[in-house]
Amino acid sequence: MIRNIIESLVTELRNSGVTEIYSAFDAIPVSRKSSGFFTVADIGGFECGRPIYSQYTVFMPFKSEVLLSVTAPEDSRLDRLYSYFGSDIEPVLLSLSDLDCRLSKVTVKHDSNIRRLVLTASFSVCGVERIERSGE
Amino acid sequence: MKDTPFNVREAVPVTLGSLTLYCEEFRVTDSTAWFEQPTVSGDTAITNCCRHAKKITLTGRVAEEDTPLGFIIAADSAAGTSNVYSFTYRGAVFSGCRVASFTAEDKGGPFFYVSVTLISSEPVTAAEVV
Repeated sequence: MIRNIIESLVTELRNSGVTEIYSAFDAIPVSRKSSGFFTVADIGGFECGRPIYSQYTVFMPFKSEVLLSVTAPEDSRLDRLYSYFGSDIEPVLLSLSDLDCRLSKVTVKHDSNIRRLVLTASFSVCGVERIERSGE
Repeated sequence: MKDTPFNVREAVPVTLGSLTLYCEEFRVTDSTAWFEQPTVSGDTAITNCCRHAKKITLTGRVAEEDTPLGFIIAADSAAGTSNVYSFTYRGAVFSGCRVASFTAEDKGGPFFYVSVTLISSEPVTAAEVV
């Protein structure tokens, strides 16, 4: 379910023209990703609610927080990172925002592990996983 | 030796005519009114009693897909008639039930919170074990 949530958001961003975006599960090393800006989608939290039963389907409601880490080389300017996020990523997230899903938080830091500037956008989502009932 | 099994429990389907509610919570209330009269010596004497009808509240959630608000339509139909329903809930048979009220709340999530309140004066019996 977590992988599907990430893939859904990655697909939305790709369909909106964001090319340099990767899932945290794709196991592609940073060195093989873009040397400029690129974005990694990961899960910051996941919560599954009580199932809802019906005759043929069990619905599993969930809430999750997708973390979109927009990264830039450490020698790039912060305003360019903000500008890239504001022009390419944020409009897509805002277009997906509604009562249930929304852009909830943006933070910036320097990640010494990958030696890049990282702007992390938290996107809260909720939905329902449908599971067919068997033997009913 | 400690035994810590996981609790396994699913919602119980309760069918009332065309309405099927997968009941997650259940509540039944029953009461008797006792009538008192003062005696000449100033004491109290119970002179009569009245057994009130049971109120049974079935609560659950409905994830609507193909038939939006289908629960409300079915519950509204059931509430507007004097149809009498019987159902079994976890081994107890409730008969002679009429729909007294229902609620459906859309709180913005992917499902409705629903409840149906039934009223019955029939005694509760145990379901036959097959």
